Amino acid sequence: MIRISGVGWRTKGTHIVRDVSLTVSQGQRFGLIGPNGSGKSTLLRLIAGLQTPTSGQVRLQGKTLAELGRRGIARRLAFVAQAAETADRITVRDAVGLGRTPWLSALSPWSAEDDRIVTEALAAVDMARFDRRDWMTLSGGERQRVHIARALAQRPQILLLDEPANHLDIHHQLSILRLIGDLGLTTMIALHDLNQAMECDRLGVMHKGQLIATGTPAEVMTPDLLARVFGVRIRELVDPVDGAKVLRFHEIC
Amino acid sequence: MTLPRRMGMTAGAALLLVLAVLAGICIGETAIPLGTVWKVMSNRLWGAGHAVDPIDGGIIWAYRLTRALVAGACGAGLAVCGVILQSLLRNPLADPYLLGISAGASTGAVLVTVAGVGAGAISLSAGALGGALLAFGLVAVLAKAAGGGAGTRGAGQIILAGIAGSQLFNALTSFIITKSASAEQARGILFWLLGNLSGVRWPDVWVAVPAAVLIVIVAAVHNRALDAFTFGAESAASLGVPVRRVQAVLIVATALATAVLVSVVGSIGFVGLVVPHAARFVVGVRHARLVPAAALIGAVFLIAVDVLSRILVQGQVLPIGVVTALVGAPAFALLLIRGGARR
Ligand SMILES: Nc1ncnc2c1ncn2[C@@H]1O[C@H](COP(=O)(O)OP(=O)(O)OP(=O)(O)O)[C@@H](O)[C@H]1O
Ligand SMILES: [Mg+2]
Repeated sequence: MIRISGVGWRTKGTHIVRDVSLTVSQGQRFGLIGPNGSGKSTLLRLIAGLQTPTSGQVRLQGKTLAELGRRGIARRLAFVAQAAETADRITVRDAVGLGRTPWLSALSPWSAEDDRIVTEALAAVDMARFDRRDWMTLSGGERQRVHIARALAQRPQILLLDEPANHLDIHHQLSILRLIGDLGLTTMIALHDLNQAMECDRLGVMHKGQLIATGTPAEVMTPDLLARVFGVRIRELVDPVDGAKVLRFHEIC
Repeated sequence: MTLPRRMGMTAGAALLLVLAVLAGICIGETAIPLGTVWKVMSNRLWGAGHAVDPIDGGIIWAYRLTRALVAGACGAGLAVCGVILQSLLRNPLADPYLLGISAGASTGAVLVTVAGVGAGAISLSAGALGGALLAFGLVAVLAKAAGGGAGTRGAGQIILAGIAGSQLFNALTSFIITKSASAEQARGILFWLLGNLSGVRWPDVWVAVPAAVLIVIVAAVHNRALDAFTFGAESAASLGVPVRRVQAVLIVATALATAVLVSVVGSIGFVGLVVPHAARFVVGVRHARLVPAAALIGAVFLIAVDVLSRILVQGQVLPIGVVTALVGAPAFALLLIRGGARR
């Protein structure tokens, strides 16, 4: 469970994130939407403890980040950043193996169990065939899937993903989002595709550093709000096969 | 890696090191047969009481053995310092002298030998050590003031601060030399700066070997943390690594080890920059294997280069820093080409 209260982050006098409070309950999939620069990534980094809030507090499963400590956070929460790159000639398998770092120490070295977890994580993102490949030789979407596999190898209870579907082809977009859904973890996910956002249990809308609305997709995705935040007009269509709503967008002239 | 395999590798590495040291003892202006080496060593180590020529005994024990040991320690220490800085700062061009240490050491050395600071009470080594630590302190303060710390941006600030510090101290060195050194003194200083093992004796062994062993242990203890930096400092943090503490401990340890090694033998270039890359070509990027491999390759390489520097030009010992690059650059080029072809 994630509970944040009054969290803010300011730098050089400007508020990048201001007074955000929200709760994501166990097993819930929480989608974060908002225009470029609205503070989605910053909010996720504050929750992951990669940035220290200038005000407010983040609690994971009832404990503050300070109580958990770096390793404690990493054992509970995995974070897939928007872009992380390396020039090292690391293999895919070793890159995923890094996810075991918070669980390893001098007293509990790498074991067959760790190997099994890495193999499973690779299979989950459909990258098992690539396990001996060099990172440098992967395509953008393949790299994204390896990052997600590394997060899975951390065996977290909470998963934070910053635009995980970026770079992915439509098949892998759907399969990664389904995988994330099937895992049953507490998940917070920043998204740009509003149709994908419709699949979340709950949504939060970021606008100029503030969380201006939370609720179910149906409650949040109102024409008014989308016009105000994104400057677009929406039309809802209904898929005749399953009755699901599909959104179409038009610029407001 | 399985236990028997690991023990096999360790034994192989130890054997290679012993062979390199033996080669360092036997080969030189006068070649010494292995039999004599064996007798002298067993006399010294467990008082075997063989009859040996005292001159041979002196050359082996006080001159060539110490030289080989210090060369090995410097090679291993500098290579591991290079591995640490390249991984931590995410920069393949990082080397142990990046933090202003070699520049500071040369200023210290020049102050003592040319400007006469300390009035003879301070040795060249002590001056170099003082200068190196002072320069590193300055670089560290500058990096901190410029907002260096955790994060990938911190790494950039450390590198820039190191460049600024190095330039400053190099300019100071040149200033002192042009102002007050004779041509003879300047030549001596230049020779020292390029690395010099000729004056090495047992007390130097007791300084260099512990420094090298310590930095190898520090790196080995942090091998998983260093791995975690593969995708940058922020990714390391999200994997549970206490980034600030690890950065501080490793950078200070690297700076101290480099400063000590430089004060013993001068600033031998090339090893700390290139041996880490050579080791990566051989064993890959995971630090559990990279750290020991770099230490071994660095040690063997520098012992071999020292032997070459003594026999390459008849009747003259070349500065070891010249030979490391002369021999090492082509060897590395070969590795680069082969590594490229394998891809
Ligand atoms: N360290 C910083 N210093 C100054 N400004 C910053 C800093 N970090 C972020 N910002 C600014 O804060 C705003 C929010 O950034 P953030 O990355 O959180 O946006 P985002 O919602 O993730 O956008 P995107 O959809 O483009 O990924 C941006 O305008 C950015 O320029
Ligand atoms: Mg973002």
